[in-house]
Amino acid sequence: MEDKNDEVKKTKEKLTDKSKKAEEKAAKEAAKAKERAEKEALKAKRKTARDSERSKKMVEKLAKKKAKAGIYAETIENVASSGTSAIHYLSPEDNPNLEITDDTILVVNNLTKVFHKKGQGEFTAVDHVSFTLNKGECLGIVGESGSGKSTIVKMITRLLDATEGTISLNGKDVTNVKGKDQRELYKNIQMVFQMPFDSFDPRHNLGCGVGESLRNNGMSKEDTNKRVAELLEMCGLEPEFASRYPHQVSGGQCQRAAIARAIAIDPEILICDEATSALDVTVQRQVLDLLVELRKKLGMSYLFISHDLAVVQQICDRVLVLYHGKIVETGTPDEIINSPKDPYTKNLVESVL
Amino acid sequence: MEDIITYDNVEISYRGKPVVQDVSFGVKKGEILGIVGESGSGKSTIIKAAMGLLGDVGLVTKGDIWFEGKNLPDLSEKEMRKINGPKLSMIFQNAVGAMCPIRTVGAQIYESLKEHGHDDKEEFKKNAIEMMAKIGLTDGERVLESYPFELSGGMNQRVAICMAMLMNPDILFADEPTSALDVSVQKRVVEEMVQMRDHFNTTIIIVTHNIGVVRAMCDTCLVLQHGDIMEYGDAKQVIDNPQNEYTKKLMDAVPKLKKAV
Repeated sequence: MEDKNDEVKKTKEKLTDKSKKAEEKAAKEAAKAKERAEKEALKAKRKTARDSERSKKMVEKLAKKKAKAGIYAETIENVASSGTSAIHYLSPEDNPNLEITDDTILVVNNLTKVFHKKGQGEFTAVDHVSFTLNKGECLGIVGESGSGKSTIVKMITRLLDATEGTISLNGKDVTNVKGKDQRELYKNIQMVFQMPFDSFDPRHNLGCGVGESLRNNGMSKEDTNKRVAELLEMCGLEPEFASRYPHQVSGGQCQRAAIARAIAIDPEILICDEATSALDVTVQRQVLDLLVELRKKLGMSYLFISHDLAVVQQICDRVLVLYHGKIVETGTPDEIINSPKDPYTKNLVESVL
Repeated sequence: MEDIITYDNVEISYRGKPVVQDVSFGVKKGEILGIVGESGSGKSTIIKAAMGLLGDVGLVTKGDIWFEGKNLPDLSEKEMRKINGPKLSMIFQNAVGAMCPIRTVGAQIYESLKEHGHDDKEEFKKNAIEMMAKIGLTDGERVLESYPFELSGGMNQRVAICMAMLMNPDILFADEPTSALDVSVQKRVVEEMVQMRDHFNTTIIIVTHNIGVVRAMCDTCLVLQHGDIMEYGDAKQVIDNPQNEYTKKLMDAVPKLKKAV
């Protein structure tokens, strides 16, 4: 009996031991968890403190800027209330040159492009360029060849990678978008190139080129054909032009088709890179009239690149003068032409024959 | 004063299809004539006909081009080669493309001079550097040793002008010499061409679609449309007070810089 009792006792003890151990373990774990939780809480606390400090700093910085330039009132409010929405527009080194309002759709901040040439070292084509484009605005970029006009546009359209700086479209950073996001970008930004013939596939008819963006975005063949006819008409061409090949039309007609192709997807921004430079003056006039008309009708923003000040004066609201990759002057065309401040701009205006 | 070159009812055809019809005009010594019109209007064809550069498919089918008592289209290629260079010179739109890419600028200028009997190398160098200085290429020595691709577009165009002017020709044909250049460079090239005229009394016939260039340098102006002369006369008259419907339309389409005075 005693043996049995002993055994029972032993097992009981064992059990209590086990349960004790388990209890201890649990207690330990709880303690650990508590510690962990405390640590995390501390971390979070610190983080929030840091964050608030950061945003505080940001607000302070902005306030300073505001005091300086008096233009940031809205942005600061946005930062304070929503925390992040407006921060997208501002880079770490926020830029006093940028005037950001609700209408701003494109912000280019400190954009830089350095080309590496074999054996020739580095060449800075675009040097910390910052500007904004507002809704419905026509922004002109002028400058001589090699000043970096086209390089800027190529970076905006992702045909070139930026070395430094950011580009944001509607608050979204698009500086380095790839793949699906890049395709998404092209729904908002479209381009008209200088050489009308070179920008179309010589083996496909114009209708195919104009409707390509629509087909790529899942429109049926039938609907695309209908829309292409509409677009061509909108651009002053007969619908029959859809079945012609690039070599069968004149330069002006081809450029009209290029415009139709660019507006097919209904972009917010249309970039015209020397779009009228290769055309005769009479045709250039017609194409410019078309661009002005389309802007009224569709409310697009233009980024209009040209070396011809007279053309820029005709259609742009605001002009950037670019020289050796830097913006040397900005203002309305009349301001820049009538009272140029920078010596380079002066020279440019005086050179117009 | 008598005309140095006269176009007399000239018709020029490509593959039997006339592209320039019934063109008549004369240019005096030291005069600058501007030929304007849209692309495809036959501007370049007119001056190519005088130089014999119409190629295999082009031909002067009617009329004569008189120069020093000779009808240029009637001359053989051998005779043309003697005239082209020392008497008639031409500069092209794309100066880089008009030069050999793998030889230095100096070697090319020297070759053109040697072909016409000036084979003193020292003298050539001196003259070339002097000429370059006149048209704003200050570093002549370096330019002569450069390859065309090492020079900017404006510099290349000035080299081409230098090459054309070294032979001191009677007539300089210029086919869109400033179209590929920036406005600031364009202005310099225009000024230099006017200076050439003042220095050497060279006759210049310039083909351009830039009305501003015509306004800046030309004495007379000829407006072409589809190979027909629309208007011909004093450059200022034609530009500021056009009579012809087409000229009016053309001048109206020219974007003008509106400057507050």
